Amino acid sequence: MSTPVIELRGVGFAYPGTAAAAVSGIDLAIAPGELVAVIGPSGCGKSTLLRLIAGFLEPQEGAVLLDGVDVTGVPARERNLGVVFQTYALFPHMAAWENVAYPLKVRGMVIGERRRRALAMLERVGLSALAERWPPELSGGQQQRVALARALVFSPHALLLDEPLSALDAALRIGMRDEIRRLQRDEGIATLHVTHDQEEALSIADRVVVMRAGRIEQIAPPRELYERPASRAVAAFVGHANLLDGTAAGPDSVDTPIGRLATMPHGLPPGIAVTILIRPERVRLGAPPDGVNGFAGSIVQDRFLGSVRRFDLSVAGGVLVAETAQPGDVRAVHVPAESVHIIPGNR
Amino acid sequence: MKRTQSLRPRRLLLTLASPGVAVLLLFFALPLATVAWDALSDPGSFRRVFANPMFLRSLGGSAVLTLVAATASLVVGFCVALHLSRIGPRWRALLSFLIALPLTFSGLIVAYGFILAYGRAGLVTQLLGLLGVDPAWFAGILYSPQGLAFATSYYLIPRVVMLMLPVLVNFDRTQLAAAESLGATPREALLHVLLPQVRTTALTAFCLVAAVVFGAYGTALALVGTRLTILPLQLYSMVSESGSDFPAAAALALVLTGICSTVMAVGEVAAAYGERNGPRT
Repeated sequence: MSTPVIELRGVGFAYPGTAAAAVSGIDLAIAPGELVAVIGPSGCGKSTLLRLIAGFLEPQEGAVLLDGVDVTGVPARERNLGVVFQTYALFPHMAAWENVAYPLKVRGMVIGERRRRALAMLERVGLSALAERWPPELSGGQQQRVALARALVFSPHALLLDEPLSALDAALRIGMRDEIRRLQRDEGIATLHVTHDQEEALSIADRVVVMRAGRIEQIAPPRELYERPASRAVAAFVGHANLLDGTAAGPDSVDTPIGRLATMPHGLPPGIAVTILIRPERVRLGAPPDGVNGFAGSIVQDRFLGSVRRFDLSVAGGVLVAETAQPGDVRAVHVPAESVHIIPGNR
Repeated sequence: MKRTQSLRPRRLLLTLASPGVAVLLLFFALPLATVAWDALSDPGSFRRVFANPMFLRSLGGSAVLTLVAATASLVVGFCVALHLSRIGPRWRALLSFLIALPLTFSGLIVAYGFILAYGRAGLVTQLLGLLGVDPAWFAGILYSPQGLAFATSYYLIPRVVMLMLPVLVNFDRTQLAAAESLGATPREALLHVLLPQVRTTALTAFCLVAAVVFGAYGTALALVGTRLTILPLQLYSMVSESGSDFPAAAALALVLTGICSTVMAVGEVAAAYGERNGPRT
């Protein structure tokens, strides 16, 4: 296995004057060319993690390694990392090309060469026509591209993105995240992408880190994270979910407040507490053809979301949230056994 | 009906403005016009001012005093404002209050304090004397234009801080972090990123304190009497001591006013230019 571009070993940090650690016990490795997204609720420590890697903060525990070299305590300017900030942090007194050329200027490159490289980089992000514009004259998306170009022009070890799309409107955000992914793949650069947007993380990351209360809850590829969350917290945070407390019954069944559910063989001893996860889109309309996991009920809330509708179906013992593209009334639903995911424990 | 409605606000505005206009007319425009009339009624008044060998020496003294005081105040005030911009709002409010305190003191009191501390028989001078520093030499520094420049900084620095602080508080500090992540040293980040964005305000602050110190005479008079060769003290001695050539004194007063107004105008033009062109200036 190749040396990780970014590696954190047991990293812990607490802000001065605070009792609780902002992050603790963080172990993470990002491979060359990999894009890792970090998600989690506000205050979970995801931006602190990025700042520790960037060198804006120094960990009180553990070590930060870049390309296998311990850089803990090395100033940000010597880490050779491209950082894109939430507010873009463009220099408003410099034209777009001068912003992009700035890292080359501080590296002592002559003006002709740095202008040539900056313009070439702006071309790659589709902004060569706006090279002479001042940042305030650019739209949010254009500013974002300039910030990306500036972070990439000096061939950094890795790219750190701190909620780079949060200031953009929804339509532009989708376009920009594809653009980020394209550039990241073209450059083959290891990237850490901090975001509060789950969809953004799931759609562009090779792996997703879920953080909670300063710790990593799970690191997994997007599909695995969504379909097989390691904990109830991850299941609740990532996407929409029906989460039911239950206990293992037989080798392929669990007892829940809405009745006994057939599952795939789970290998858990009877009586052990579990959490049952059923994704709303995995709930099927109508009575079950094989009579398994069928529920009758009535809709108590119906939400039109454009491409789908999400409704709450009141069933005996509780409420099941389901999604469908079909209009009309729903009286019965069923859940295939393979759509019932069991998480050991109920916390 | 419509006309009555539109006249009412105008009448109200005139009523509100009239006390200020009256004060301006009675205590600024009228005395200034009298001075101008006095100076211009004698065709040789300006010639006598410029021909006086004291004039060039006083102009030079005032220029040195102004340059040293305004530069020192700008440097110190900028550093203080930069520090205040980095701390929490509560501490910032408290320290801003303390920094503004010198503005409320009489220049006479402060000058007296300077004499007690740094004069020939002053506490600090005597203590330095124990270390072998000549008291006459040390006290002489205070009584020079350069020494006076530092003595006057006490009430110039707060003005610089008050002008610079809002700009520095509103400055997006992420830009400095971005510069550092791109490879800049803290010094380069300051020079390339922060200073270009605050230089217009810094120039305005410099011009403001320069105009203030160029025309000020209270602290200087209290410290050294009329021995110091600066324009305001030359004017003071022409009015109060010799008292024989009022047209020339009026001409010198106009010259002094003209220089101060020009310095202020440069600051105002810089501020207007900065506002029009934003951070690109």
